Amino acid sequence: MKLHRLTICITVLALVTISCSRQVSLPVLPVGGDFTLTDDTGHAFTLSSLRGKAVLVFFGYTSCPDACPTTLSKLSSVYRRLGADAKRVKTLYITVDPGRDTPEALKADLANFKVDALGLTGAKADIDKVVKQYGAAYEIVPTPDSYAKYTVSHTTTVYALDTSGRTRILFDYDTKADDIVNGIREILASSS
Amino acid sequence: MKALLVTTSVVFCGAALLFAPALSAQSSSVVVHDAWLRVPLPAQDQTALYFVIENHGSAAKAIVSASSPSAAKIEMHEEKMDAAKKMMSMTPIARIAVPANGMVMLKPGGYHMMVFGLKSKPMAGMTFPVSVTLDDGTTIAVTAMVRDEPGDSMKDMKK
Repeated sequence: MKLHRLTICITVLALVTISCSRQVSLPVLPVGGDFTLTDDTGHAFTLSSLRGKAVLVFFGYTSCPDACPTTLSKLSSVYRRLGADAKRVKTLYITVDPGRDTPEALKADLANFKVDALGLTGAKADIDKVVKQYGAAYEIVPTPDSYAKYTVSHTTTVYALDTSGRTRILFDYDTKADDIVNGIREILASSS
Repeated sequence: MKALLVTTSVVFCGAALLFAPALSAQSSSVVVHDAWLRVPLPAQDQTALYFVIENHGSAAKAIVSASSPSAAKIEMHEEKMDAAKKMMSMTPIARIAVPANGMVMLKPGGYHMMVFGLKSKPMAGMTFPVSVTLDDGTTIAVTAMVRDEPGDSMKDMKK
């Protein structure tokens, strides 16, 4: 009976130890994967070229007046709070409005934020493939009475990838900068 | 001065200068304050404008239009998260209701004014004149501060 109790104690202790370990805490999510698009200098870019870095991926468009700059402002804050770890994180901003977002426009607009970000565009079919791969979505909404003629509704999730390109965390639009920082640190810790 | 402050303003340029330190403007019972214009991105000639509008009267009011001598067009838009699709959408709207004895905040992620066809590039620290028209025909002169979202832009980092 005593031995039995001891076994239970050891088992509980072992479980507590495992659950406290950072190595096993993040699942690999069934979305994402490698892709090739065009970077903001007009060259082909493949996700796998970023092996060794944690990567944040999100979908947006530069004439997005509110949600996209809000996310980029939040990511500026994330980079600042990451301190020395910021060097180990790359952000990919994939446009869902390739008709208006030239590589030049992406580059100029992203330069406004203190984020190590690369703007990506491409043929609509190629972008759509990546959107589907990541479980994202967007819709072109005609607004004939508006100056803008159309707006783009889109998902605002930020996908956090580990240093091997596997999707580990999905950050919702409302996620606080500090929670994103903690998530990235967890990814970096389990990768090192 | 108090009488001046409650005067319904139609000459927004002059009023903008007069009220610039408080960054607010008044109709008979409706007050606009904390107006700010997001610094437009380099490749864009459009941006968003936000403010708080308070209705101290007992009659419901609504914003029906807005304009600025510095932009081709200002529209009212609502940004909404479609919970089912998890998509953020932006929809032009015809009016923004301001309930009696109530207030509405135009802010990122909600109601905002879209400023299209900027005639020059507003820079952080500058002011931007806007005229807001209510459904009772009154016009409110608003002076918006041009700035980025708090603390996080490239420019703020360089300070």
